[in-house]
Amino acid sequence: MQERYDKVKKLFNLGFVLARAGYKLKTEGSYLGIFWYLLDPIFTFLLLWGIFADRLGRGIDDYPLYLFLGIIAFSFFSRVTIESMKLIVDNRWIVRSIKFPYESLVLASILKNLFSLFFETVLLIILALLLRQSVAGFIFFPVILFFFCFFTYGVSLFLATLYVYFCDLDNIWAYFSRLLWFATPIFYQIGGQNKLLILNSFNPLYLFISIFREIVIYSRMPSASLTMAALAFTILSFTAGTAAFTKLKCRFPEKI
Amino acid sequence: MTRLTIENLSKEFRTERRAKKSLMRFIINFGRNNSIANCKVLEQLSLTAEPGEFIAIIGKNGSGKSTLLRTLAGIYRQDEGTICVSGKVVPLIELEVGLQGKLTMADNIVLCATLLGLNRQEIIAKMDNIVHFAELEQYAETKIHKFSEGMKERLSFSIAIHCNPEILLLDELFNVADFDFRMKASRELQAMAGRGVTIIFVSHNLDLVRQHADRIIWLEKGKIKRDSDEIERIINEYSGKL
Repeated sequence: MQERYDKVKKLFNLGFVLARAGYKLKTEGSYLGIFWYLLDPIFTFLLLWGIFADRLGRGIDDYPLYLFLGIIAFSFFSRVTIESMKLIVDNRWIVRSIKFPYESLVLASILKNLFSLFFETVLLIILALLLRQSVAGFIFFPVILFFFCFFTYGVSLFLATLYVYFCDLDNIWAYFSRLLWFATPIFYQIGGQNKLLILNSFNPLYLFISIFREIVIYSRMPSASLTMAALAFTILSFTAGTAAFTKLKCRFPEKI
Repeated sequence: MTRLTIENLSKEFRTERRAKKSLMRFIINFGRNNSIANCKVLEQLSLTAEPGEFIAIIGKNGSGKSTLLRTLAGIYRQDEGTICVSGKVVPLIELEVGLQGKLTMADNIVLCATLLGLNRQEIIAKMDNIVHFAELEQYAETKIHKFSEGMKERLSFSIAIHCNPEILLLDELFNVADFDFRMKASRELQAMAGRGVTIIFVSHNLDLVRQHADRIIWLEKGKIKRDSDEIERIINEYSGKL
């Protein structure tokens, strides 16, 4: 038990150091620093709000919050998975020279993006206050985020493993992410469209974003089926990702 | 107590038509064997190392020297045989390992030392010693990409020796560092060996081998051709064969 605790502690310690280094590298020489991270979700939000507020957003309560929360949750998942996928290959000189827990590279990506998500969440709270909405639901935000991070971590580990073996996975995943962006109700709602509802019941991002919205914006408990499905996806993703990564990581230094 | 025991160690690499596959090609060719041949890099290697031993590994390119170091460091997994290690292994296999050009030297020390297993408190306690040994005191906030190759080598070496190694693995040591630093590093390595640290280094520089090693292992085609403490005799034999 103590050994496992030490391993996790070492993993987080390394993850924090790598995340800090990664953040410094990303903002190195940048005058705006952290604000670069915020520009993408802000501009995406403004663009989509400007176009869809009077059309797709008409029947949606608190559409600005609905839209912005969807954008930041999806962006977090998308950024982490795209970045994590290439981490083992991009850090080949370290991987081929030092034995260390490679999972820390993926963890670092999560931690680094959590940092920017924190500022995006602050913007969301400001937006809620400007719209005179209750911010009580934000108390539960870290709880859902905790599970969302586990889900994202699992997917990222799986992709990082596959990318070591398949060099065209980044193109496939970029294309898939684009499809996922349109398939997930971020700037629209499912309403009575049954086909879309069935499709999205297999879409974990829809499940998580719906739970985020229910609790944070509408201060309602999400349905049990929604919660259970999201939890099942989290367990599946974490287990499959960890298992694949653990099984194949000893071959990474030879393969890259 | 023996620091390192290797028994019947074998390692092979699969030579593939393409280093990395396309997922689409993998799906199309599923079930077909893509590999050309298995290339045996290390074959039935057995050796032991005691605390304080200074072992040089020599051999031609492709004889398996670096693969042996990587396998000892736990980076590569052996296909056959056993490796029993007693103590902390610190590898210095690539010169600029872990160094990020756009980060300052202080940040790089934190990053590399963490990768090599030190915790935050240990790094803070050793930071001044690392910088002092590398003789880079005035460059703490300078970004590494402004460093010369020699400065980077000094820094990497200094970080590695301050990470509490009990087995230190060095590949092609001191190719670019200046004479003064080479002498200083040599003295430090001898002192470490005196304190019981086992040092295993790969080198093509036979003068360096002659100067440091108290045992020499000659690898040829993945096998141990000679393993002896008669340094001069082995070097003469090896030189004669070159």
